[in-house]
Amino acid sequence: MTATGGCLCGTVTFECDELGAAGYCHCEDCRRCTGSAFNVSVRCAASGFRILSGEPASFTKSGDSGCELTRYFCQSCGSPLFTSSLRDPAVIYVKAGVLDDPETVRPALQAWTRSKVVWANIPSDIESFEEGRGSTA
Amino acid sequence: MTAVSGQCLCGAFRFTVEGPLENVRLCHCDFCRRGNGSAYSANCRVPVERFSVVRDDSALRHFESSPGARRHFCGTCGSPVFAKVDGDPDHIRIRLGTLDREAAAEIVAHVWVGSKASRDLISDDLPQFDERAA
Repeated sequence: MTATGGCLCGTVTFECDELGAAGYCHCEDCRRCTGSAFNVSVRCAASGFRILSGEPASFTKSGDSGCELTRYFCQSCGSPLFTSSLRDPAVIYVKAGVLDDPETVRPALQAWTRSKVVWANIPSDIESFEEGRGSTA
Repeated sequence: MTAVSGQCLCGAFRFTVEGPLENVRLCHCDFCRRGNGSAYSANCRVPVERFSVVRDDSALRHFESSPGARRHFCGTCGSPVFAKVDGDPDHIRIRLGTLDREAAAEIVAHVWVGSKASRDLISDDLPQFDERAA
């Protein structure tokens, strides 16, 4: 089922054919990128992801895994929107918070828990990885 | 007085905050969810005199999400760093995610939980408010 989303100011909107696995990430870069305790991202095939309006800005930096990540955000309102990875260019990681229907997301794991802050609020009954998620999902 | 430091993702904007980080509300409203891309915004309201800019490469931009409320973010890397409200000029609302990891904060409540996503399970004992905190 097609999912839609967009930034806070409405300039950038997108749709993706099908949402895949979702998870929390506590790494420092995700914290700074969202300004919050953690990032919640959802996998989507790049071939099924389309920008419908606007042109997001981007910033590229290597994450804790050593992999180079490009983070896309709205240059008018700052909303973080999605991330792409050189390691897996066929996948887009959509920021769950900008989906129009947040109820479609069901995070199944959390990553980089060794970096989480003491004030993070996370469910206690989902799978956890101290570093990357490995080959899961 | 103890100071903690923070910065955006790319480091173009760096700051320090003095004193305790108290009365932090985790806001689940739609603006904070979209503005941060995550489950909630972790906001700490501090007096402006306790907030000091260490580095500013003129990258900051802002968006007025509601009248008189401006969300400031880095135009280079997108990090949301703080917000200012016209009706409350003596305070600044910093985003806790931009602080260095060692910073400790007193979280007191979840607010606007009526807007939260069902995936966003709240498993602590903090007070919850459908809208603003009482």
